[in-house]
Amino acid sequence: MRQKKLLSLVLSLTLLLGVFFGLDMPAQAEDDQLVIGMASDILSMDPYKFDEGPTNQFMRHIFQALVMIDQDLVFQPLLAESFEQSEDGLTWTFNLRKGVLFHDGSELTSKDVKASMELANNPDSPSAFSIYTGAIKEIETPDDYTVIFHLKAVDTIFLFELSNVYILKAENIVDKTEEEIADNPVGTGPYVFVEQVKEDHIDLKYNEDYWGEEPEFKNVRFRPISNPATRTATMLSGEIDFMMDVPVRDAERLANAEGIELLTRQGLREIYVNLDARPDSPHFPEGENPMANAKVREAMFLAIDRETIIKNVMNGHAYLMNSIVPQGYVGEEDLDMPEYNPEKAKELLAEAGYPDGFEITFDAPNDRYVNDAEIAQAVAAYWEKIGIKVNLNLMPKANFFKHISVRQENTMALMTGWSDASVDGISLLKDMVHTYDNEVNYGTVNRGHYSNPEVDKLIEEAMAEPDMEKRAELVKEANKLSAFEYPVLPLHYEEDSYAIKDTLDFTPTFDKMVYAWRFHKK
Amino acid sequence: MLKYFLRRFGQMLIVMLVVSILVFFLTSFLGDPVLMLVREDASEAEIQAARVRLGLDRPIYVQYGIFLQDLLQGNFGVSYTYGKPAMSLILERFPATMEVVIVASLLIIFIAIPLGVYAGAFPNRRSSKLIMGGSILGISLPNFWIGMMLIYIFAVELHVMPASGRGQVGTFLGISSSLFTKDGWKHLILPSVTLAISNIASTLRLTRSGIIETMREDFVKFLRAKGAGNRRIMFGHALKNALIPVVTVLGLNIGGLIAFTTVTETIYAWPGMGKLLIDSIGKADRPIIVAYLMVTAGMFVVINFIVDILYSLIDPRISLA
Repeated sequence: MRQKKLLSLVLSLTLLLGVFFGLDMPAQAEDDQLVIGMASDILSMDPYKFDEGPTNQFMRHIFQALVMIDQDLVFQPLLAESFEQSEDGLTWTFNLRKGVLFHDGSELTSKDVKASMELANNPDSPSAFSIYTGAIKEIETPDDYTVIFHLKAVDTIFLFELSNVYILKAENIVDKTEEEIADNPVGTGPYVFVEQVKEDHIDLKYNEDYWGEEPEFKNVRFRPISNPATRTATMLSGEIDFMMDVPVRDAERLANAEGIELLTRQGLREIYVNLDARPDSPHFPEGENPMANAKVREAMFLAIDRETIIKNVMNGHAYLMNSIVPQGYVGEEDLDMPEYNPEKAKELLAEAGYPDGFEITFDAPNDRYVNDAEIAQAVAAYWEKIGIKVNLNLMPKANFFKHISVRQENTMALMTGWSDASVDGISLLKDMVHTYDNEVNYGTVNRGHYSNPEVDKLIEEAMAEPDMEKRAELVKEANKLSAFEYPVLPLHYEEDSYAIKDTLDFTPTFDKMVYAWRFHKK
Repeated sequence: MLKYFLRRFGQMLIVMLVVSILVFFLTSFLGDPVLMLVREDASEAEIQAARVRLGLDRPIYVQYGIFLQDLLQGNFGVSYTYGKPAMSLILERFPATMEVVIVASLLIIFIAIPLGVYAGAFPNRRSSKLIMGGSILGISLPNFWIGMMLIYIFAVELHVMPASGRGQVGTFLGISSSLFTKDGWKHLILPSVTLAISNIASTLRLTRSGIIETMREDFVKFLRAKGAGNRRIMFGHALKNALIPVVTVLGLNIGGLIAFTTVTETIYAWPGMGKLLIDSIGKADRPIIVAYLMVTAGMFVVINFIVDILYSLIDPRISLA
């Protein structure tokens, strides 16, 4: 008994002592620290391993690419001082900025660029960035400050691709293991890595030798808080200065809270419906596929009251979508899509020979997009109203994306989302409406197998057109031609929304990237 | 004793093996991890390459064979998402979970047992009835609701506690833990209370009924006849007899706390193992799920073993053989 008492005494003393010993930790400088609450943690400290929003956003504080997209969707030189494209579009020459230092004090040269591109493109590594370097045939480095890229073919989104590839220090990556690379985050960016506690925080501090403009905040902390209600509470309690991904149901509460402002803008993610457009669809083995008829697809579009879905299902936190090419993109044009009209929808169905409708299965995810299951239910209900019998099939995302894969022949109608930050409409058209072609990787999300040779031809022409203005015309033509055949029934663009302390100033951008150097004190 | 120990060890291996088979085959229904890793518009070749890299191109029984082979060398497999050994990822998160569990366990032991003894000894007092009423609330309110309420009251409204996250970590005697800093304690309190509340309630009720039962026994009357004081009877004699079922349940409950802090950790953005498990399930990251549940199963066997030892300490009539 006495021994037990002694033991518990020692234990509690140890604990108490520990508390006091710990007290002499340095107090945190609060004034020039910016704390950003994110919805999920970064996946890896290996810069090329994952191509994913939160990870990229973090990496771009430490590492920089040759070019960077600005708030007006124009590519600006970053580590490159200037760049030019040859007449045939096959050669790009970049002049590097002189005097740019890595965090360890060494100067950036063309050999770092070459080594980084080669690492990103390495087929033996689990690099997610090889998609951004696949167009490059050869890299030439005539001197320390010049890099020449020779391409295999014209690549309309080459600048976008380069804007994703961070430049690492050659010495740190050549012949190094994945782990060594991840443990050595030495870049040229405005911030230096301090520490990471997984799923709790990552700290950065200002790089005193940074070549560019000095940011207002010298210390930055990213905090992943995946539960949306907790993220809101942490914002309300004042522990974070900025919150990403405000859940729709908390938007009003945050907007009304004292000292907090809500920031919103149209996001890039488009929510839409795909319909099986094949005349020989395997889903209708006995008869013909009604949805192969463009009139039927049009009817199914007219049947959906998109405005009401935005108002009632999305609580107004979404933007009507009329074109798959977002605003500001190359070839963007606001298409004049017809309004909700169930009577005309019924007429069209009758004209197409289906006055009594038909039966389909409609696939949708229930944990991927904002209110996805509710949107799908609303769409199904609208179709029922014009006489189409709908079997709604809701799935978690882990199963959904396999089920709707364009390679599998599982789906005849589905609702999903897509976002593309390339700022070029051709990239979306190529993926969404070009005939599926496994060889060249076209039509990879054309899950309704829509196919129009005329549209395909325009897309292919645009893909080979290095001149941006000429390309824009081709994109417009292809977009208009395909849109009114309704391979895609556009619903809405999701809203990006953030909460910010009202003492700070920040303007959200189209690509949802939140960079600490864009924050200012009011 | 040694024989007993070996038998328990054998049991543990069998349990872990069964769990590994169940989990291994069942997680294949979670979805395709390859499609969660590659881009949505990845080409056939990219997907196939990723599949081969993760070893998922082979039939599932072959995959299981490889898994067992690696396991014999102490290798639980490599996480699909993080590309690191599953076991090291779990161990990395272990201290954070243990901190909350230790504080919660202390709360359970030092709040529930005294209150239970009190309510059992004086079942008719108004304060006892209040305790029992409170315990019903504690049992029936869901964990996530309590957690959110505590955050709103103490962090959002009163601003006395942080809403989420693990605080500053201090190092003492070579161990890094948020138990060693003031900021760490501040962050620990709400999650620990959330975790403890329903367990305090159930442990308290169990202690109370044990005490009530024991107080009716002849030896208590005898003690009273001999003139022993109330306190001595309750804590010296009755409690020991009432404690056997309490220890059993407490052991299993604390095991449950360690293994499944998932909800609490998610609510408080606490970087522990439970959050790792739920994230891994979302990404169909089988190596982590399998390793996690095998470790958990093993841990429960160990806890049962410790509980058995405690029995023999509390009640000398029970022997281990």
